[in-house]
Amino acid sequence: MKYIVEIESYLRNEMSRAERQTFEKLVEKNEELAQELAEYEDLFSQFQHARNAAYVKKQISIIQDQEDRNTLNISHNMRKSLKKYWRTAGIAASVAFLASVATYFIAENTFNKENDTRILQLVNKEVRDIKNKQTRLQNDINKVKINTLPNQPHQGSGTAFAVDNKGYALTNLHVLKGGKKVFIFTADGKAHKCKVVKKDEQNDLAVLKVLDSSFAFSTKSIPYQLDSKAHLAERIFTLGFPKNEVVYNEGYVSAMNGKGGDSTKFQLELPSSPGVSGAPVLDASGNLIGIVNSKQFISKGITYAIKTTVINNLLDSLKAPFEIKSLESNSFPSQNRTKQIESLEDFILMVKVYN
Amino acid sequence: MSKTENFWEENRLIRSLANDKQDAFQQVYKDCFPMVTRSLQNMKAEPFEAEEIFHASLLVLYEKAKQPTFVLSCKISTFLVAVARKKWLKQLEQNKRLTIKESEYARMHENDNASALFDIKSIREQEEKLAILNKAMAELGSPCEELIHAFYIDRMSMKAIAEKFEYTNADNAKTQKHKCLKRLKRLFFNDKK
Repeated sequence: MKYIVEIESYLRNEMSRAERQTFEKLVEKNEELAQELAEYEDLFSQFQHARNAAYVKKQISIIQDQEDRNTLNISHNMRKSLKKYWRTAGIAASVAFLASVATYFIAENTFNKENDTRILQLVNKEVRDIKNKQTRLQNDINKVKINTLPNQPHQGSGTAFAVDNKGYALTNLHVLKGGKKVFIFTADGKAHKCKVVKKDEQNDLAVLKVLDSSFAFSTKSIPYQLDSKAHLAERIFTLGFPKNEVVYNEGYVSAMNGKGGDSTKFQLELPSSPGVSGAPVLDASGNLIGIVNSKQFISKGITYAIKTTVINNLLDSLKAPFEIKSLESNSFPSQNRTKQIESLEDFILMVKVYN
Repeated sequence: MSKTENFWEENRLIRSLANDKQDAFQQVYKDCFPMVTRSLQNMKAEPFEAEEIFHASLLVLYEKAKQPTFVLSCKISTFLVAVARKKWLKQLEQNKRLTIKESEYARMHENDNASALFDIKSIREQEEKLAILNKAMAELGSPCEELIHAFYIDRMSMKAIAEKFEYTNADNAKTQKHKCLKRLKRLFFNDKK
């Protein structure tokens, strides 16, 4: 359409009165142009709505960031110890600063003027180092604040596993019900506050992201892949958190569909308990073939798992905006089970939700 | 505080909100969050679902506030609760998580004063349109998506855009932008049909 420049300046109110009138006459005569104009008008009004939505989203994220930093339930003791931490940090910093200044003066007296610039550079470097240390210290304190557990019992728990090393984990959506604040616990026992970045109500899945942006599950890459499928009678194992420690379980694939022929799931012969919801199902060579979904109990020993195709669909929708990478490396097959478990541990997480 | 004083107070806040005053936004958020989410949780919403609906309702309020003729005839919190409840109810009905009796009961307890201020159907239509725009923008791909976003949504100047996207001059950027706009329009209206 050749009139796009005119349409735009008309809609953006950039035309003079004379220009407007000429253009409006043109539109009256030209039906196609009138249609075109109406469509652009519609599109332009959506830009305004998008602008409003972006503004509201930004304001909300500002408020949420403040909440994460300030008002997260920090128990009284925690506050006290933080204060102490600050005092120590302050003293350490001033001592370091005095030392560097002293270095400067001593050096000033000892060396002649020609060395001045070099000495100044040295002092500058030391001051810079101190500043960096201070920033790091402050970041640490903020992290402690964010990741402090609420001072109350949890409302629900389950298992999650890493889908991207930068803090993305997958779990069952129903695990999160009943609470607002979601924490995952890594193998070292540390708690990390998460936000829910994606929910799939239909398939009972949720993707979590650790709030601390510098967090990574491990320096090693995730050992399992997500492109394998379950096979009937295949031996499988899971790692989950029915209690406060990881529990290993073995079983086999007993049917290729879930309850009532549900093709998004498959059936396992595997003892399951509530906390195992969200646990990864792995085949003998350590490939991920599903995620335990123990929402429905039928009889003891029967567990359902969600297929990887469903998981991949969900993760695909996150790939562009959140930079979730496809899982690649796989050093599993040659190792024995205990070794496999060892390399898995960093990536299997306990989830707890609090109000 | 008398009723009229309240009225002016609330409408002053609405004006500040419309003028993008950050304080006003924060005040509305903090004042209304507990009431809105509690009222949704009483209607079977999980905490994070309640929060999501609350955020969507804030956008409705913000857009209303931007309309020059809009005058609030109830408290801001009452308005937000009414919008949020209606939105949630629609969602519940769609997912069939509510019996007919339950939704009848919920409708009986609507605040008429607040409900008169908005039309849930047009709100939902608007939300759908925006979703179509977002989808069309994503389909545009780089660099069109960023270009359109920078000019029409972030309202950057053509000169700043030319610099940011490393075009040789503003005219070049403009030509490119027009091409992108044409493509976007095609995607936007095809998606609708």
